[in-house]
Order: sequence, then C-alpha cells, then structure tokens
Amino acid sequence: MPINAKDVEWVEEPPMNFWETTFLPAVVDGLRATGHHVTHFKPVTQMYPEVASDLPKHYRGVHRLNRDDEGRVKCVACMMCATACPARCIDIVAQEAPKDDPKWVDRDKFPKSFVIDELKCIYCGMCEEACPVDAIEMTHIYDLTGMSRQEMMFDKEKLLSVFDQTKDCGLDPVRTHKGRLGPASDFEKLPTLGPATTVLGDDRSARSTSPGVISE
Amino acid sequence: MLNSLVNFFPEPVRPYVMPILAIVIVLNVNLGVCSYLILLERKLSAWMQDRHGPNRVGPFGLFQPVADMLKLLLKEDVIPGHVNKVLFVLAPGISVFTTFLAFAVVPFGPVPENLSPGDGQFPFIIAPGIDLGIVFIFAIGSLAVYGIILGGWASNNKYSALGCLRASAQVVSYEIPLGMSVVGLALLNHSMSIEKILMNQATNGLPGWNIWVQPLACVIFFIAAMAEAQRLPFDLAECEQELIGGWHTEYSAMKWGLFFLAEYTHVITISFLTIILFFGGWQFPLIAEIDSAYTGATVVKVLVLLTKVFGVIIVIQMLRWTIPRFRFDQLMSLAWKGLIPLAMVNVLLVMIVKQFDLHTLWLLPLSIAAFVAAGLMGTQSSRPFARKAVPVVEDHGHGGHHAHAH
Amino acid sequence: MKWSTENGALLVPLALGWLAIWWLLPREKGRSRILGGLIGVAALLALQVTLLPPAGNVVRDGMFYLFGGAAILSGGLMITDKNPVFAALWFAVSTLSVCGLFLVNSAPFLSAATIIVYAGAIVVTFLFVIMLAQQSGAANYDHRAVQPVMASVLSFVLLGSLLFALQEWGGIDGKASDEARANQFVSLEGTVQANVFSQPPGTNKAEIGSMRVLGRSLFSDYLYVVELAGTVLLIATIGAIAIAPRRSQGTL
Repeated sequence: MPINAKDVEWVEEPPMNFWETTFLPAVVDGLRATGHHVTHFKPVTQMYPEVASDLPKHYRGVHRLNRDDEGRVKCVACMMCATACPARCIDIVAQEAPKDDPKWVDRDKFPKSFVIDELKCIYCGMCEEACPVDAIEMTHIYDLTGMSRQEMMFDKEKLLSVFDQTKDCGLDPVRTHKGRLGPASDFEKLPTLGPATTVLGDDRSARSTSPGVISE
Repeated sequence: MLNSLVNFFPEPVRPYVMPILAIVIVLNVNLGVCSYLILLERKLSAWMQDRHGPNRVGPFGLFQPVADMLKLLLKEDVIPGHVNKVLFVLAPGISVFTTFLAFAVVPFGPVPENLSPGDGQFPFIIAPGIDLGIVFIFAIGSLAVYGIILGGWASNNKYSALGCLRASAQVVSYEIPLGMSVVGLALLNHSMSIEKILMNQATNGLPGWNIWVQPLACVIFFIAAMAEAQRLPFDLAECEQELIGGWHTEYSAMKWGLFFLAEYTHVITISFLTIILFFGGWQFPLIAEIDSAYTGATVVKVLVLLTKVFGVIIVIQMLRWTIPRFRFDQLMSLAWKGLIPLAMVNVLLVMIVKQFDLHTLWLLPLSIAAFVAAGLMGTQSSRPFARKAVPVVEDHGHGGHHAHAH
Repeated sequence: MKWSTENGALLVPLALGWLAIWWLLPREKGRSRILGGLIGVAALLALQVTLLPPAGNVVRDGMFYLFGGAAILSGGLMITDKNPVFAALWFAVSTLSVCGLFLVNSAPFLSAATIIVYAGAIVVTFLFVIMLAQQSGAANYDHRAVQPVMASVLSFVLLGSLLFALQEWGGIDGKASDEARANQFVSLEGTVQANVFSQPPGTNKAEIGSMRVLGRSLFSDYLYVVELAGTVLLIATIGAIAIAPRRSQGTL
C-alpha cells in the first residue's frame, strides 16, 4: 500500500549557518558534554547486592494475609481476590464460622485454606485492589526463592507469617483506614498510613469521585 | 643486553632473532591491549552514561577481559546450517590477518638508523625499510573489507547481507579521501616511508610536526580512517540497532571475538598512524628530542609515543559515545561531496607551495582558508544533506500510485 | 609440419590447457571436475619444459612458481566456477598472485597500487553488484557458458600467439644473465627520448622500480599516455554522472 502523496509532508530543514556546516563545533560540544559526565561522575546505578534497593512505596512483592486486632486472619473468604486474579493463582476454601464460638461471633466465614501459587502470580496487585477488607496486601519482599515448586505454594500460615514479618518494618504498613470497611477491618492498635502513593492535589484522579477513575 | 640475547643463538639464525622478537612483542601486546581497550571502552561509555560499567571481576573489573576471553573460548562455536561453511570460517581469519599485517610497517618506537639484521638493536618496527609504508597500509587495509563482505555474504542472512553491502560501498568510498589526504604529506616529505616521515618531524622538533602544515589533511585522514575501521559514527555495517550486528549477526564464540580483535587492532593502527604522520611520533619537546641521549631515552620515547596514541584512542572512543550514527546517504555525501574535494584542494595547495618555493608554514593559513571556504559554500546554494521540498501534485483518481514517479 | 614439431613444447600444453578449460566450463550437466583438473595439471607440467630452469635463487624461484601457479590456477577456477561470487573471489586471488609476481620482480609500488585498485576496489564493486543483484541465488545464465568452444578456442589462440611472440622475439632464450635480461626491459638508451619531457634515466640500478623513477617515467616518457588515460577516465566519470537517473527528491 503506497503512501498517498497528499499524506506526505516534506519538512524543509532549517538552513545551517557557517559553523553548523563545518560540524566541528557540534562535535566539540558533544565531546564536552560526554567528557563532563566522565569528569563529574555521579552514577545513578544502585549497587544492588551490596546496597539494598531503594524501592518505591507502591512496590508489589510477595503477598501477605493481614491479621486483625485479635490476631485472627482478616480474610472473610469472599473470593473476590480469587475472582479478580488474572493468573488464577489464588485458591481459597471457605468455612463457616462456628456460631457458638465467641471468638468468631462477628464473622460469617473464614478461609479454611488460602493458597497462593507465587510462581503463577504475575504480581499485578488486582487481589489487593479487590479485597473488601484489605486482608491481602503486597509487601516489599522481592528476593523470593525456593528449591521446589511446592515450596512456592504459600498457604495461610505462611502468608500470615509474612504479615508478622513485615508489619513493623516500616516499608509495608497496614494501609486500612480504621472503620471504613466494616467490622472486619476494625482495629485499634496497628499503625496506619495513607495511600501507598502520594496523590497531588492537581491530579485529575485525585478530584474524581472514585479514586483512579478519570472522568472528564 | 639485547646483544647477548642475539649472540646466544647460532650464527645463521641471528638476523631473524630481532624481527621475531618484535613480532612476538607486537602480537602479544596487541592482544592484551585490545582486550583491555574493550574494558576501557565499556568503562568510558558507562561513565558517560552515569553508570559504573563492569566491576564484578576483580578490583574495578580489571579481570573482566580475562573472563570475556575465557567465555569466548569456551562457548559453543555455532556454525548455522544455512551458511557457506568455507567462507564463513575464512572471514574472521581474513579480518584478523589483514589488520595485523597492516601493523607490520608501523613503527612503535624510535627506529634506530643504520639498522642491520643481527646487530642487536631492537628494530621497533616489524618490517623496517619499506619504501612505501603508507601505500602498503592502504593496500592491506583495502583487503580488510573482504573479511566483512565474505562474513556477511556467507552468513546467508538479510541483516548480514545489508551490513556487508553497506561496508563494501563505504570502504571503497572512504579509501579515496584516506589515500589523498596523505599525498600532501608524501610530497612535503619526499617519501612515502612512515619511518622517514617520522624522522623528518623528529629532526625539526615541535614546529616540524606535520599538523602545522597539514591540519586539513589530518582531519580528513582521521575521519576517513575511522570510516575505514567501521567505528561509530561510521559503523553502518554493524549497526546494532537496525541490523542486529550486521555482518557478524550469525557469528558466535571466538569467531565473533576475532572480528572484534580485528576492529580494535584497526583502531590501534589508525591511532598510531595519526600520531606518527601528523603529531610527531615519539618526539616531544625537552624530554624526547632527536638528540636526547640520556639513559633510558629510548624508553621515554616509546612511552611518549604510546601516551599520544592512547590519547587518540580515548578520543576515538569518546567520539563513539558522542556522535550519533550517520545515515547512509549522509555518509556518502560526506565522502564524495566533502572529504574528496577538500583532499584534492589540499593536494593542490601543497603543489602550489612546492612549485613556488613558499615556506611550508604558508600551508597553515591556506588549509584553514580552504576549510572556511568549504564551510561557507555549505551555507550557500545547496545544503549538503538537505532534501528538496517538492510541491505535492494532486493526483485524482489514481490514489497516488504514481506519485513517486514524478 | 616441421614447424609444429619444433614448437610442440608450446603447442601441446596449449592444447591440453584448452581441453581442460573447455571441459570445465560450466554447463547444464555437470562434468567430472577431477578429470578436467588432471588435464589442466598435465598442461601446466607440459609447459614446464619450455620454462627456464631455476636460476639459482631457490627462494625467489619458489616464490615465482607459487605466485605464478596460484595466478593461473585461480584464473582457471574463476572462469569455470558456476557461482559468480566465487568467481569474483578467485579473480581477487588471481590479482593478489599477480601482485606477488610484481613484488618478486621488485616493483612494490605497482604491486600495492594493483592491490588497492583491483583487489580493494574493483573486485569489491563486483561483489557488491553480484550480491545486490542476486539475492535469490544464481540465475540460469550463470550455470552454463554461452559459447564454450568459440570462447575457449579464441582465448587460447590469443594466448598461444602471445607466448609464441614472447618466445621468438621477447628475449627469453635462457642464455642471457639476469641482469642483461633486466636491462633489456627497463633501461632506455640515453639517446632515445619518447617526448620532449623525457629525462635521462638514473644510473643507479637500485633505484629501478622505486617510486621516484616510476613517477619520473610516467610523467615524462609516458606523459601523453597518462594524460590520455586520465582524460578517458574523466569522460567516463562525467558520462556515468550524466546517465545516472535523477531523483526528484533526495540528494542522491
């Protein structure tokens, strides 16, 4: 399919002055620029294995399952995360909460088993977005290794232990706002923080009714 | 010391001791220097781009060349099924052979006068007394393109074919300004021998450097030599971004390494030539004059020469990471419309000066005037790389199918 | 008949060489290359009878036979190879061998210039055109010689005439010393002047073949020829530029 001559716009190059035609000043300028980088050497490389990476606040690493104030798993087994997951790596078996147990009096369901295949996961963060009680969150742990595939299937206990490990390190605060998301997300003691990323006031998404959705 | 080394051997082989020693030294030093030049280039490019560069193997990455070489030697040497095997294997060999052969007439130190085989003087040149050193280098250099052409053609790959087509056109074009730029030097020095040109400069000291009388030729020579060596900004045959390495796309392991060895040897050779032909070789005021005879003067001279050459290599490497690659029509325009006419004018100026017995330093203002005149002509009627705008003709009915044939 | 027996030493290798080349010229149906090669080797060996015996310097003679043999061999391979790219490469090898012969005969500048012009530029341009034109493989007309008999007979008649002339009047009689033979080719008598610019040749034998003597000879004895050749090349360049297609857009 040849391009129609009407669609071709020939751009006239601006006329060159004397020094530009000789090319030498441009070459010298370029050499000065590159030489300046050599003499004023300020590397931007992160020396990763020796120096820990400076990760952004919204980094999406290994998942964790949050606990509520009483130490129970916060998850209410609603299956929203498993439904939202594009990689289908979350497998939840729900169990009805025992009504006569005072420990579970405010819950209908809780997960009997909760397994995330960390090898299948694409770390997109959809589960985090989908969770109505902010039970599943992603942490800053990125150097995830294992000797077998079985090892990389994270079950409920392991995910809860990730929570215990990361909740106080400062990089992964529990982000739930108190009292916003119903009884399951209510707690008193744990510290909270605002949104993972700072949203500037002049950002259109900040002014929209639902965060993240831009409406003209 | 060297005398005793020569006398250690039986009489019939004594004349061959020093040349063989020179060859061994040149080959080994060249191999080592090439691998460390690659490290230097990687470091330099990293520094220019605010990175660290290779720093894992050894302190500051100093053993990186060793690791690279081991990797190249131990890697599987793939010969794809669709290639022409004979030429595919031959091509890297030709590349290395020709570039090393060209180094044979390059003096890498103060070549002693009255050199005779077997007298225990280190020659500082592999093949002394060749009357037409520069022509020899050009002849060998023009053969170097066969490595690229054969490698590209034998690879039976479109990228390689494009690369070698570009290389052949480029090398044939740039040989002309390269050769013409030194004609002036040959006229001024009454010789084509590199040793003699070097000795003439060394005898006259700093004012005798050819750069003062042939600045234009120096610029032309440097540009054309870079183009001959396929260095950026003239590496259209290689072109990692568009041609995926061009002629060496299909090569792997040590065969690929040989191509790189050839390229860096070529860079070293043209750096030596630039220094020896235009910047006085080993001559430097006060410390390395023609008559300096203090102890270790020879070593100082060699060090001066190597330092100068190192400076040129640094400039070449910095240019690589500074100037973007030429477009092919720009490359051809530069050679045919820029360098060749300028080189001709330069030869003409030398002839005028010689014919009318003017002082040779007249060539300095004359060369600058020629350069300025060329620049002024560039600003006038036709700009060198401009595309002329053509009014678009409305093409009813045919959908513009014939628009390109106007 | 008497003439043919006298010159049998020349005629037999020529006939054998013609047979070898004719046999080996590319055809639709392949022929035994070994047979052709053997005939060619036989031709070269038969030619050996007429060649001079080694003149004493073993290295020099070895070099001569090496370069000469390589030149003839690669020349034969050039015209008998079916693949045009290989033919061009054999041409390059042949040129390089001839340059080696120049070097043996102490003409280094001629050698280097031939390498630059032929091997470095002309063959590269051939390769360029072949690769550009035949990206999909060799065409049919590359696989067969058009007129194998006519071409080979004519070329060998020409070659035979050259050799015969050289043998009769070229001064190769095997008796004159090396120096006398060299003088026959290179030294002009002092009274002979090709034109008004001619200068008497230098008496220094060591200078023969150097660039100085070559340049002086070119621009004095052969001035008209050089100028004529330059003019012809200039006309060719102008003609090429004139008939090259113009483009409405772009600079090329």
